[in-house]
Amino acid sequence: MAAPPGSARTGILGLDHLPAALIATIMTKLDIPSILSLASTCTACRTCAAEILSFLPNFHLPDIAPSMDLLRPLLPQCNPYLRSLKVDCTRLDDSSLDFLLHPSLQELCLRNCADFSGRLLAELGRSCKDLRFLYLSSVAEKRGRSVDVLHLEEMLSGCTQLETLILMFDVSIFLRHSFARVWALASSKLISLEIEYISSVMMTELLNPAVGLHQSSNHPWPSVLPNLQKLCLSVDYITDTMVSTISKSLVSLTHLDLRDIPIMEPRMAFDLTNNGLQQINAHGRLKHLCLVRSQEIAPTFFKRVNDLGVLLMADKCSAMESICLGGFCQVTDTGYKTLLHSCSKLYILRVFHGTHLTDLVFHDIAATSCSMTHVSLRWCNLLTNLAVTRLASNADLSTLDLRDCRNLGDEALRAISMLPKLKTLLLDGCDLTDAGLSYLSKGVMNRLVSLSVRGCKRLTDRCISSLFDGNSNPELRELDLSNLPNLSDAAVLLLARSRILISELRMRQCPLIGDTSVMALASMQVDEKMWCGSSLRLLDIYNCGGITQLAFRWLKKPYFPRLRWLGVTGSMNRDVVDALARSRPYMHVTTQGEELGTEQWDNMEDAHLQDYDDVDEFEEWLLGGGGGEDDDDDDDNEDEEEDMSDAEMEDAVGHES
Amino acid sequence: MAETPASAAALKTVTLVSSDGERFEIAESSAKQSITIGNIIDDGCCDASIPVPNVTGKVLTKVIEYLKNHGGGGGDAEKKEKDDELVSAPVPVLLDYILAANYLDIKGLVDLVAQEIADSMKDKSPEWVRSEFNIENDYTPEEEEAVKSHFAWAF
Repeated sequence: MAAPPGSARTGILGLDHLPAALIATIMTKLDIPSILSLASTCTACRTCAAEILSFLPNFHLPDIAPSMDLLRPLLPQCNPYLRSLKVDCTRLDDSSLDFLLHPSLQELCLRNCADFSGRLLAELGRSCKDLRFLYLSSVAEKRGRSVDVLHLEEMLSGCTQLETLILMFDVSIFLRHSFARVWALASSKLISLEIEYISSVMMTELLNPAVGLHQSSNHPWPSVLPNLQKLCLSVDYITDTMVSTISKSLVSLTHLDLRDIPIMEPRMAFDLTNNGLQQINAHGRLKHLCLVRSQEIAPTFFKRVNDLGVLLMADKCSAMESICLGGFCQVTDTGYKTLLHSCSKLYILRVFHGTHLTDLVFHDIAATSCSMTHVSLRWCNLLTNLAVTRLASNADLSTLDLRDCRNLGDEALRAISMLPKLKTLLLDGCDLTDAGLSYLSKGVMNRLVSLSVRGCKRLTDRCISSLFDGNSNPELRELDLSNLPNLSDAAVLLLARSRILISELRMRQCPLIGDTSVMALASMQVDEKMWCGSSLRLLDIYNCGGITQLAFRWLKKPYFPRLRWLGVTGSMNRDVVDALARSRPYMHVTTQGEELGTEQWDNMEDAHLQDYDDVDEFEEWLLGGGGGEDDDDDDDNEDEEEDMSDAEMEDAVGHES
Repeated sequence: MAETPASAAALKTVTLVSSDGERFEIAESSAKQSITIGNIIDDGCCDASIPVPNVTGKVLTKVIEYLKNHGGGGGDAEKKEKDDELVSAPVPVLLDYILAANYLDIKGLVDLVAQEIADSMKDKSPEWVRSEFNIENDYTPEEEEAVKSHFAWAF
């Protein structure tokens, strides 16, 4: 504890002269890349880093997919304190198993395990018996890799302390009966289960094996997953049978999240109707409910649910805190309003494709006792500024998602501008002008963390200057300026000069954005020191009109040192893009217009996964009679339910170009 | 200077003397946040004044401010504000603070300054860290090459 010489007098003390324990303390507060950066400065720091890595409790590498060579020096074999490991396993396979699986692990998150076989699951059950949290995605998806239900069985019976299990791969590859059987072995401590993807039939059988064996209903239902509180599933069809089985068997359920992506309009026996909706919350504990039908593959909706179903559901759900309904095209203001007024504790409301949702729902929202923090109203085209004005009476709002509500305009922004806690604001496709955005500059802009104005075609450079001029250091981290035909390099220059620590910038399909923007962002100096480059982790300049080969010179190192995700147009500059990808092997480069980022892996609740410009046509098809009642009650109709013509199917699939 | 609490026992103060002779009075309860000072007090050997030979007056002033800030009472927002002010000092000064806090064994202050240093060096290149924190590069050229290529992905 003796102070080194020279500390008091000259002040030219270097960090390397601090006692090792102090350097170590500083290192424990850094992430792995920063530890390595510090380690590269001097030998004293390198020694410290080596020490730290041998007892670091959390080893997280979020943005890159390391190879074994990269990992080996970092993750020592015997670190008895390693509790949490999060790695992208794209470049790893079964040979890394011994290395990754430490018996002390309690939290494990392995993404992109496509090159692993089912042995991964079996080894987990054998080595990581203390596991509490497990996330696995894409297991054995690569050709030639296989996973068997026996592997799953070993994992479930071995990890007896498991509380949270997230399986992000298609479990319908397992044989149905064997699959249902192994879940009886699952730890009784399991309180949270998330599966993407499982068929509704398999899920029903999992919870009620008697169904498959045609036993009489006098047999008591065997208790599978008795303590489950949270269930999140992505299924083929949300059906009445599945919903009622879930509601009846899971007595402790507080959180239910069901999403389906039908490939075609479901028949009555395979759909959710008012009956199914009525069964929800059979045990009265439900606090979070999410039912979403996605139009990613086909324009299908919950056509057999109407206000009656919602009313009956609302009757039993007065303790609900979070509701998300997507694709309920027949529900009107009556239904939504009943929900708002019955659920006094509601703080999260999400509605997607609220075709009949109008301002009336929010007319007297100030009179309800709800204090909303997250409101998401996407594709609700009947909403006008008035609804937003009413919504803005919720002073606790932190997330407001009004994407694709085409009738919202500048007046809505005036109402939002004073919300004291707003952090996320999504306004894609709204009818905004520069004047509207300027309302934000005085209040909300100082606090916003995430802002998206994708596709607000009337915006020009002026909105950027009103938002960022004079704002020296706001909290903004994510900005989406895609699909703005009038956005030019001048705006990006202004952004770069404003010295905001933006980490995600999307400017897809902006015809006027060119090389100058890339140069400006590359030279962005966050402070007066040597730091050359910017804080950007994600940059999307896919299909920007002015990008040429010159821009790629500025995308190389040492520029954009933190860039992990880059979206460019591959077709025009093939060689240059390949060269860039080779020189920066740990950067994800997409060239076909795919959306960037890892959010979609983490959070199934984040429903802005699909971004399709052709939604209007669904809407028109739906309202124009394609969404009629003609096929509903006739389940004798076993014919192909080809409700759509080929042309509509193409539109439905959606494409970016 | 001395605190103004009600009870007599809490009025007990100690005097700390910096390396350059400046004297500071502080309530005993606040001073005990420093384990080092606490030990000296408990040992009863320096009832009059406690010398702190490794810390200058300038730095000790700030340390004592920290101790008083966290001595008890006062809102969290206020404490945070004062802490933020403390760590907004330039790097050489921060290093002085953390050394003093280390010597005096004040865990809270060590963590506070360490976090600030860590936050400022997050995501930075080794060159930047070296220049900012006056770190002498004692790698041989070969070592440096090796280290750079090994960890190039990180920065």
